[in-house]
Amino acid sequence: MTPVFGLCEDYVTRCAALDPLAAEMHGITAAFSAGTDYGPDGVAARADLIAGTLAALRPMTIASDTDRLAASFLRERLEAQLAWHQMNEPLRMLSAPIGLISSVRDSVELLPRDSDQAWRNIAARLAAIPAMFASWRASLDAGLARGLPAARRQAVESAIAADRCAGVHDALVAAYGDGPLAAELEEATALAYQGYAETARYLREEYAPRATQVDGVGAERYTVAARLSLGADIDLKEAYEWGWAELRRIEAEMIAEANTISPGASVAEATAILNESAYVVGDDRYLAWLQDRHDRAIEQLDGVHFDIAAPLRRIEVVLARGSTSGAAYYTPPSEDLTRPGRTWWPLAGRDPGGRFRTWSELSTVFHEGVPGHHLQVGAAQTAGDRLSRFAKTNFVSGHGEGWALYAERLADELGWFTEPGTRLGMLGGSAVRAARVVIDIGVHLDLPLPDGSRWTFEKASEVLGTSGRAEPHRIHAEVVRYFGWPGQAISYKLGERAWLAAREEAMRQPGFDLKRWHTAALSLGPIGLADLAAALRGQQGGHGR
Amino acid sequence: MAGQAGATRVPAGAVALLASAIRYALGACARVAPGEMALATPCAEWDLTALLAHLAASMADVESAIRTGRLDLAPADPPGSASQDGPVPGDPVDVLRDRAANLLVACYDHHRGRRLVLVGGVPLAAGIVACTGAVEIAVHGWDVSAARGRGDPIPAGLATRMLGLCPLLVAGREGLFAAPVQVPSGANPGDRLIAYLGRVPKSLGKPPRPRATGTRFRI
Repeated sequence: MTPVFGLCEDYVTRCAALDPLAAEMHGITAAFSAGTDYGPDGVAARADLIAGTLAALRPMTIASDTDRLAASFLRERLEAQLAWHQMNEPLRMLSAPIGLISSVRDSVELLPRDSDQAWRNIAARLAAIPAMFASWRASLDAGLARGLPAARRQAVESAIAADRCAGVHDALVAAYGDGPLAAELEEATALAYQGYAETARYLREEYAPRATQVDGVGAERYTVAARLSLGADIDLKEAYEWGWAELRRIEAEMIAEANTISPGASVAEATAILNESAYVVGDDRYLAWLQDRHDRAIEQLDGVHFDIAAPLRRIEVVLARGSTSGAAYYTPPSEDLTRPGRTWWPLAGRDPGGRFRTWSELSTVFHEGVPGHHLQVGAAQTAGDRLSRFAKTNFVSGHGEGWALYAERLADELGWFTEPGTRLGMLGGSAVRAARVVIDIGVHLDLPLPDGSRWTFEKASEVLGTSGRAEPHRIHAEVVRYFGWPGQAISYKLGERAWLAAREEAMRQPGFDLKRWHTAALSLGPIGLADLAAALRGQQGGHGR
Repeated sequence: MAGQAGATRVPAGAVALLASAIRYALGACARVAPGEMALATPCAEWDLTALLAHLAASMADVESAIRTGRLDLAPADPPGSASQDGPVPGDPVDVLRDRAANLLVACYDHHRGRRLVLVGGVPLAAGIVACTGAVEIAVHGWDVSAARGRGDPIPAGLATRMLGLCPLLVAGREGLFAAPVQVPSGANPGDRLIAYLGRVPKSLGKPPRPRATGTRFRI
């Protein structure tokens, strides 16, 4: 192992010890630890580790191209994270519906359940929830004391997210049955619920009155957040204008596509027709449909458009009953591949015996599964010694989400949206992502809308519903998310744009081969968008001819 | 709507009262299952779907009042009528949570000690509006709990504060609440509050049953 790879290994190990919940989420194999310290001391320890690792990296000798790739990625990520720490963001880290409450909640559900020790770990994690939240509250209090309040809307919405956690672990604990640890699990679950409830009370009644009324974070904070999400410093005003143009382009395509559902039908009319015709009934059938479509996608791709490593030829579909985000998501396999890659599909309060639309979901299967996240993340995890441990277990949102959105478009190019409405579903998803660009940048930078008006929560909801064509029941949660997680929402569309631009450039070279280009692209592992095109050019030189 | 027209004095802790009421009501709704939506509620002719829709609409009204400084009164539903609040897309409890968040954000953002809200053209202190909303939310939270056969009491601290305010807020109750239900002198504050608002506390031993409460309590 070269010194650079050794440093990456050491950083991952130490980081996992300081933040075991994040490590588990990324599939990092490490000794079990009950909880993460989100308090000021824990935050400072993580910042020190980042700064120390960067200092250690600086004088290192680069031995090879793989070394260079590993060092470059480590440096880029750690610099972005350090800048985020230096803005004191951990002291105002408050976002809903995706935030610390959902992370803690999901961390319990992600734990293995295959032995007595595993169940003891679950009990320990549940019992640690009050302490984890107490440490987080200490950081939030420290932020307030330093004049660094988070947005009030995020405090109130996070309180409601915590309220929703009442009963969220009941099914997991019930699955254990009445074995010898049943009492311990029950007691730990009660403690966990007290932790959620106390946090909800704190956020609603103590923090919210002292929080800021302003939702937008401003240019300085947004620039740091966008860099963290994209791995690039971009021209935000240019991206804002491009987002509006992209919304208009997609709208025109949707109108044309609606006409194929029923001649003369508007998008709304086509949607209504599909809602009444393309669905399955009941969560069991929904789960079976999802699993079947994940499996089919792997069969269609493997050996034809991609070579998929054997351990990755299975994705586990999970119905996320406690999720509040309303959006599907992916969790990667563990490093040792004993935990499979999983896609999570929120029921979001829907009737388990009710209808589940399929026409609008197929595109998301390609996004979360293959050729989207599972293929990309899995390719990194099975890359052997070509990628550092840091690269195998880390993620740049612009790169990863951009790839996943590119995967949806690729599926369209490959002609996979043959069932009625599925292509309209893909376009609808694309419209939401374009709307995210204008809302996220517009709100946080306080840029005017095309008609000269200013952004508010209500205006953002309106744009997401009308231009983004988001489903009405998802709009509130989506907009809350953009307001509370600056820079993340833009990563899908801007990442897709970067991937398409890189492919366009490669296609101009003689002898271009799409499968080979994809293979080369995935072999790079995660990389910031600033370095993506140059890295792909290098790969093309090495693999493309 | 009852209350004192032209009042300028804001009850202390109005927003805190509202926050506590929301906490209680959302707790009552936390485990509502889709299969329970047709349950009868203590509000005559309202099933749980209608009650949740009404509560969500009331929250939106109060939010709008606080945010804009005015509220045009809709005529109250006559006792026994079904809720006129139309269906809102999505899970009713999720809709309620979203509305609750909007309401609380609006109250924290816009509530000022001397801020007035024009309710049907009559100026009222914003705090009075917030407290009225709090009572509405808490009592309907209890209705949800009762519909599910639980009748979890409104917490004593919250109920005690509301009991102190109710004579001010519910002065003209005709068409809004049934007559108060008699409870023993030693009844806990939660039971006393809901009895005052025309409900039958679980502790009286009678099962909650639909009553002509006319709980349309739009301010």
